[in-house]
Amino acid sequence: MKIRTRLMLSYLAIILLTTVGMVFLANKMVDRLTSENLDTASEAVSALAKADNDLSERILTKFGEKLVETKGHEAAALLSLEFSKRDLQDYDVLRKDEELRKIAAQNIFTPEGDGIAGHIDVFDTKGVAVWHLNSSVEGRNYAQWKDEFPAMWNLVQRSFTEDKVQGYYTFITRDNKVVKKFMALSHVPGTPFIVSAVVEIDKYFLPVQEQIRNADKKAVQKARASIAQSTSSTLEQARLLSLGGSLVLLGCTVFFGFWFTRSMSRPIMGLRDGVKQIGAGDFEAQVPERGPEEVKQLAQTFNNLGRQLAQYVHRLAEAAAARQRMESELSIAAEIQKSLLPTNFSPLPGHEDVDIYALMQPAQNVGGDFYDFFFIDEENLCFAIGDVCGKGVPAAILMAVTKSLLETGSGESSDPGQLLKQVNRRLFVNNENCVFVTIFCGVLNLKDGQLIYANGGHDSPMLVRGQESVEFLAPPAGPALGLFEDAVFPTQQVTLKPGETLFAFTDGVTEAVDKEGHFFSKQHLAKLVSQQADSPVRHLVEHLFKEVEAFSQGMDQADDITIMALRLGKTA
Amino acid sequence: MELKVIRGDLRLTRIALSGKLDLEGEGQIGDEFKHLVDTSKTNFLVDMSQVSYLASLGIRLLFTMAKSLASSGKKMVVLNPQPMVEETLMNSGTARLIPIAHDEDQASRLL
Repeated sequence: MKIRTRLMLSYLAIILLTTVGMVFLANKMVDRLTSENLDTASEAVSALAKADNDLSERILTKFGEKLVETKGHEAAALLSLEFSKRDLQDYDVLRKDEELRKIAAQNIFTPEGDGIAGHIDVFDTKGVAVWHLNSSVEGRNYAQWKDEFPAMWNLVQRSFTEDKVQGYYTFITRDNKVVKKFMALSHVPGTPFIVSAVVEIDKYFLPVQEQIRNADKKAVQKARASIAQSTSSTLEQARLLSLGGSLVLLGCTVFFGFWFTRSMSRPIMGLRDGVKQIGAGDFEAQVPERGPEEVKQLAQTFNNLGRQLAQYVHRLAEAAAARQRMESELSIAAEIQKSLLPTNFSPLPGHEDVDIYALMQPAQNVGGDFYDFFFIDEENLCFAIGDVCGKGVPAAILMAVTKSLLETGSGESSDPGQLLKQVNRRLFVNNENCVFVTIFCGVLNLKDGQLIYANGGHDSPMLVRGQESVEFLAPPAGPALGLFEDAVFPTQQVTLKPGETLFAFTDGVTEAVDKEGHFFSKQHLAKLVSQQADSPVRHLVEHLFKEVEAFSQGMDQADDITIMALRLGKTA
Repeated sequence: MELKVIRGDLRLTRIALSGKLDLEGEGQIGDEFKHLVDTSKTNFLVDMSQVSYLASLGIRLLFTMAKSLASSGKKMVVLNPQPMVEETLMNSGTARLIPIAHDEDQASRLL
């Protein structure tokens, strides 16, 4: 995914998350505020309705009290008119007067007119009931109920002396129901009679109050519904506004995001193009050093890196060219070294009575091992195998010098000891670095098999007389060549019979190591040579090379490896 | 390859070598060995009991050091080399300049 796309997506994700979060929170807050406002408004409406109800009840009560009082007054006024024509002493006569009874003992109906809420009766200033809807009460004194209904008796008693009395009392009906009653007492002017207007509160006021309550409840419900609808509408508008605002904000941020990601990604894309150019080999490529500070620094670093890389590549190319030249020179040196070693083995021209074969494998391009053989006369074959201290070109040069000295010296003396002595003296001169060469050198008389040899610090070769007879020649009697000016190299002598083999090698063979660090060793070499004692010398040498290679199991070859085998008499 | 100075005084510097004294080993200790020889001006006893392999470059290093010491009248003795290393020293003929000792007393006598 491109960095620009990734930046854009990250940016959009952040904006979307923020917007959704803000919208969600805003909705939550609006919901909460709306809910709280709705509750507050409902509570206010309820409180208002309650206050209204309470006020209505109070007004209604006062109004009702006034109505009852008025009914009492009306009855008292009517009775006052009627009493002016009658004798008030005889209660029995008065009770029989239906006109008076209609006024003095009548029902009081509810304000709606759909039920009886109370009654009007008349008693005198002694408390004797004169008219009553319940005729059994008439003639009885209210004082007899003073203990049962003290509040009522209190009102009745007060009316004896006061002009207007009214109040509430509790009454127990025949079916033991407790009811609250309102009583308004009015004197009939100029008479000893008192009109009592009594209503049962529950019957007289509560229906109206219930209607008021129901009306209030309906009004509250309607108000709440109206508030809820208004709130819902407001909420919906708020949501729409929030969503619209968010969309507008999103649009703005997307536009800004494009600009932002473009400004961020452009320098990085410039870097990418620069890297591509460098990848394509244009190490001079430079990228614009612009953009945010970090990217600018990165561009500067990149440009510096490019310049350094160009310099490095230039130096590397020079080094590679130098290395190529060196490898080429080493390759040439290796070819030269190889050409210095004899490769024409068998049959030696005119000497089919001797079989000789040798191989040298340097550890590096060029090595320090060598072998050589040449006839010093018709019967005597001079041969040598050597190992120069160190490796590489210096060792190869010393090897070439040594080989040349050997061949040159053989013209002056056929004695190997003398030959090595001459070579040693020549090598010792100006040998400040103490380089040296180990050499085994022999002269084999092909006629009688006499082998005269001298050893300058080299591993002793094996004399292979058969599979059961493999022995090392005596240890070196002289030191490595080049170390001591006065070194002597005593000659020794042994006779080779036809079919017997002299097997010479360098320490690269016996000191080859396997993966566990074990050396190939002289003992192992002798055993393998013994097994191949009857093989042609070429096969013997090649076989042992393979054995060393197999033993090393792919380990780096630490030293040059040289093997030379020489057999008197032609192998079948 | 490792070189440790076991003891150094006005008469003798004793060092111990361990590992393979081949091309790589010579590169690792050569400069230090040369510096010790150039600065100590004492005889050297080189404990080679822990040297498992001695290549021609190792022989050259030992011989060069011994030759340098000899030029100032000092000696170098190799102590307790392993058989293969001893054979290499003996075959190369360097034992003529660098005697081999198999114990401390023999080393003291040779020095």
